[in-house]
Amino acid sequence: MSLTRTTTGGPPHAGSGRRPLARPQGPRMPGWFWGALLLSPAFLLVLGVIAAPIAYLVRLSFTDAHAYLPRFGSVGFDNYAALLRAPHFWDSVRTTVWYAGLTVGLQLVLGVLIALLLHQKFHGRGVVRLVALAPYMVPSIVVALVWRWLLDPTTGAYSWFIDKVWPGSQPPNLLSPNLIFWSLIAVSVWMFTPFIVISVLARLQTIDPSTVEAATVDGAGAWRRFWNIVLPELKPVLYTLILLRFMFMFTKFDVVYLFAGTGTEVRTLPVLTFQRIFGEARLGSGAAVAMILFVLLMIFTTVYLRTLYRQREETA
Amino acid sequence: MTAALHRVARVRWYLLIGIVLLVAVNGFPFYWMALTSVKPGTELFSFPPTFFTTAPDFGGFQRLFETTNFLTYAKNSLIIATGATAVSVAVSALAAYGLTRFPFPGSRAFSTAILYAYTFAPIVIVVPLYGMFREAGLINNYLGMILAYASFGVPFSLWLLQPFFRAIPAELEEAAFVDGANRVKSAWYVVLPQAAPGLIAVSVFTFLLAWEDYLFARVLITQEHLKTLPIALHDLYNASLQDWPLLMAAAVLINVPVLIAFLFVQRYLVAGWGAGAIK
Repeated sequence: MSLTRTTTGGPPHAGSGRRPLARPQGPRMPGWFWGALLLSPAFLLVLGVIAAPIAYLVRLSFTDAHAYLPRFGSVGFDNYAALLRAPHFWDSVRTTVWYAGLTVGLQLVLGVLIALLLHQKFHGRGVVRLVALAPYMVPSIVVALVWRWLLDPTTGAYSWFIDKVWPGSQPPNLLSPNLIFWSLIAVSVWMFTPFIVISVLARLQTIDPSTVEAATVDGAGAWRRFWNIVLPELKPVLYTLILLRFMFMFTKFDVVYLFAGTGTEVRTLPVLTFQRIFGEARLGSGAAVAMILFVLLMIFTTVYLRTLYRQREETA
Repeated sequence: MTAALHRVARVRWYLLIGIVLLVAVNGFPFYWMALTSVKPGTELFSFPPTFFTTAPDFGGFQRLFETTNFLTYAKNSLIIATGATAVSVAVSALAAYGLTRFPFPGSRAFSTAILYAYTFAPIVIVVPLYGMFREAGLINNYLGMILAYASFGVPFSLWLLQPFFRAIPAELEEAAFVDGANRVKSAWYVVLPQAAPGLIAVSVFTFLLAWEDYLFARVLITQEHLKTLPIALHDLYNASLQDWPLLMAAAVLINVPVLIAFLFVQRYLVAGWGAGAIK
């Protein structure tokens, strides 16, 4: 039958001699025409709101553009050179790497633990799952404000908690410049761990329970079962998660800015970009920072896609 | 026998501690937010703090509606998020159908390009978008915002939708053709219902992305009457007096659509997440 051709060819009744009732009017179009037609709105949109802006970004990064001055001139690589020479740029790079590295590491450990927990059968699991995922769904402005309110040094609920655990101790000001970075780490981990939880949980559910049961019968303890059976199964998903989360945390702007502001101790590259452009109105210099982020992101993405495709081929 | 029982009891014990910790750490901030929004002023800064109130005071909500343009902000958020969702889902559903049913030279390259776009950081896009939109007159404009959110909505939706469309067997459509349906009819009546879980998941995700975004709205909107909820909330916080019941009341209300989405479509959310986000 001609039916099997239809996934790649045109409509199935083309030339098959079937009654012409269903045949659309007009000349027959080849499959690629329909493919291109269906794809064109997405293509135009991506071209308009991603490709064109990136091209514009490249151009902007070589100029001395200023938000309030209409004209700008080319300055060659001056913006980049100035950045690479500026110590505060390297401070931002360091902060970004620490921020992304620490949050991803903690998210990963906690996320796997919580996923293992939620994989168990117990009463009310559905509700607990919802609670476990909730922080990821909340707007970052809400996360930032609620945590600023909880951690407020004079009126925050956390000082009561510290007082209960260590009576009489003076609770440290977690929003002060020397501790805000660590509070930001905690808040970010709180907010983004659910992403790991749900991804790992989805993967855990595909593990054949009989292999785990067999190991239990053979006397393998919980730790050995996890290390020898579950973890190898999770490894591929963990690799892609590490890459993906690192990319996301490396470029995270809103929760950093909203919770911790623009102080030097939390000025990651995205915050520096925002500050350059919307704080100092220096479009050209800000565009150069954004370009550096963009190039790093492209490198991460390429590695990420390689990993993903390799895994797909292995599992296929 | 007793050893086995012991082990079960010990496992349950760890489980219980884990669950209690998880629920407390993840749930308490939400509880505290809701509680603060209705705390009477006398209890607000009391030490030790009260963890329950017998005299709820809805003054925070009242002040929110009387002294701020909360409903206007909510309307803006709703229009922009709904528009962005409609554009993203319609455009990416067409493309996902095209990519899975009519592969042609270059469609694989397009798929890969979309994956690159999926990993895009808003902070990278917002800089040139600000410049371009200023020149094009799309600052302070619903359409501009909708297009801006489509910049991450479309790659994200297309990335998530492709597995759903690929999973629909071609035989279903072929059966429809045998029954005399044309391409459009079979796509509408056969393919679309099959893809519904994916479409719902993607719609919810896209809506939430636009609903909760701070950065694009901050940069592309400067007029008071066009502000979205996250911007409005941040500006209220930055206003000189920090009225915590009012701020928390706003936070509670911003979360309402998130909660509804979460409760009603969690099944689809998990399916969408599992299928798309990570293979």
